[in-house]
Amino acid sequence: MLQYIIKRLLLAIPILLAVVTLVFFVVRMAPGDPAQVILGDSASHESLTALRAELGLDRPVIVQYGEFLGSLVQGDLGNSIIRKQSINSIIADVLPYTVELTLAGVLLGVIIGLPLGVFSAVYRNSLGDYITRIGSLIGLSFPAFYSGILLLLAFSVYLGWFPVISDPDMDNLGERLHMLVLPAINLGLIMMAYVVRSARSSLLETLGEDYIRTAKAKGLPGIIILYKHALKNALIPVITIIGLYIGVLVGNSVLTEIVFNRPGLGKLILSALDERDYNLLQGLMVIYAFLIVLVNLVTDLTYGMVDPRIRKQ
Amino acid sequence: MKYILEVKDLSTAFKLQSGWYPATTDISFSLKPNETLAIVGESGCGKSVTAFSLMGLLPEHGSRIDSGTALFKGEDLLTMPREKLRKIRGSAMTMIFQEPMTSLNPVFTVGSQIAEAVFYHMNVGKAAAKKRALELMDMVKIPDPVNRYDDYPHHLSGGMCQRIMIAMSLACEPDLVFADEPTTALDVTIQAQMLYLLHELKEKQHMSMIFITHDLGVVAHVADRVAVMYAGTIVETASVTDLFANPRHPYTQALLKSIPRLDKDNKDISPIQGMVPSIDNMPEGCRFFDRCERKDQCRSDILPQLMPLKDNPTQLVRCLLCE
Repeated sequence: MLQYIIKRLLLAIPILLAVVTLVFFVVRMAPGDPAQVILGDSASHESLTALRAELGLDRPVIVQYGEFLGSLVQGDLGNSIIRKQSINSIIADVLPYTVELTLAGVLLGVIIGLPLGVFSAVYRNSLGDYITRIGSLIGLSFPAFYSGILLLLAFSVYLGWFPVISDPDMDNLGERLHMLVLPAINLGLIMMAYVVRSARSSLLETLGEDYIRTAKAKGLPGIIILYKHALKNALIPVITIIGLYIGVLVGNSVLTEIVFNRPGLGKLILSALDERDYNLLQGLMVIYAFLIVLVNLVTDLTYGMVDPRIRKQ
Repeated sequence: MKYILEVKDLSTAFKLQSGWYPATTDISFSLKPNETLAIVGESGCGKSVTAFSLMGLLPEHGSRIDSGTALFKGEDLLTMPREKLRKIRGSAMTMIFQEPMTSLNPVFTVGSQIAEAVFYHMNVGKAAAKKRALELMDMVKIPDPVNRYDDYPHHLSGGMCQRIMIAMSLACEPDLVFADEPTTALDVTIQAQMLYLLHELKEKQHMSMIFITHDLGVVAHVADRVAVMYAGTIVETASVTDLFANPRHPYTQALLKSIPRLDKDNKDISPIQGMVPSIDNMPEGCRFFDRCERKDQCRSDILPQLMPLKDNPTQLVRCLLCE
């Protein structure tokens, strides 16, 4: 098992390398100049050149790339061009916000989505099934920034239950959870929609399998057939979907953080883009890629727990 | 108790897009304790539907039982409460299926799947259920049951999986076992082993068996009595010796003529001409009429009843020419 995890983590290295290389060059191809951003539009040509030299941006791109890789190998993401701070510490400051938001969204989506999907499959073509399916279709079609604004409007502006700006004090657990509710619901809605739909179709397929007929022929109680024999098999494709869409959720967390004015990787990435902070942008991309690789690994490990056919090879 | 199972006029219908159509019509047969009845017929003739109707395993949507009674140890399976039927199913009345590899749940160990049947019917603890499961695995001749107990179905061969299925079906010492083409998916040597095993266990446990197959060779091996089905009806029932020595229904006769034999010149093999009528276009009268060799002497507008022969009352035939 440990060997498998190590192997998978080693396999992540080429993926990470490809991502950082792509990001490194694409960022530099985009129009805009950090020196210009720092000094403003009225800056003279000489001062711009001087600042570029100071930031190391006047050297050949390939040299910059080599330097970046060199420090990356040592676990150092370098310094922010604009903020003059170590990127490691900038990211470490806001990473907990994003991780907590994404986890809460996933958890909410699964906890609500799975029972709804089972309900929908068991009572297929009933009124409840139609309502659930239409609901999940709406959840699927709403962009995160729009549903976020609606949530804010309803629960913060009209009802006043939650603050409009979620910038919690991380040491105050109550405040932290309170401010997490709306953003987590916003993300959870998307996850829930995917989980409902995949759980429903997967369970329907499983209920038609031969081994379900065997379980019935054995005279097992209906509830055991559904929750033990059918659900465990039906979960396998649902886990794949959850794993895949955690990636989508990470993307949606950017929008959610911006709408709810919540600190996190998402807000950081937006300002890094605005400021043409090449180094920070690169660093963030490395972290995102690493998170996705990690999620995939966890998904694959979960797989083995549910399905003995995948367990050991 | 003369009969363990008495089925009368069982009719089952399926829903197709344009309405309800009969899958089986007026199925009647009875089974004595310790007797094996083989139900033979080609694919789609309603053999499995008959068994599923009796076991209560028909799909909940799109199928219904239109008429009939099925007395199992004196109680009607078709009208009893679902919960009562569930308790009989898997204990007193069990079933072995055609595809052993897909009939076992892939995510549970084979041993636990046997123990489960014991646990839910025999009111014993988990440990006792496991002990019983190991005994059963030994009984169906699985080598090294203790180690095989924790194997998953994908670790075992088709023949081994079928042994697990058999062990599962025998878990609560049933009075009646339905075997729905239990050897069709296995290769020939394993088939023979499996038939031998089933026969041996049947004798040891004093149970009755309904053996569904399309293989007349298998019928000759296992059956005491045979019911031949065609297009949703039973066309002939007889003891296995009478059926092979003196088939009376033209379909049975044609069926026996179409088997290739090692000891005869196979030029005599004659396939049955024509096609089985489809479920949504069943003839009003005799369903075999269009394909019958003797239709010139007969009429197509009357549906014959399953009647005992005058010279042999244990042989029942559904044919106007045989009455």
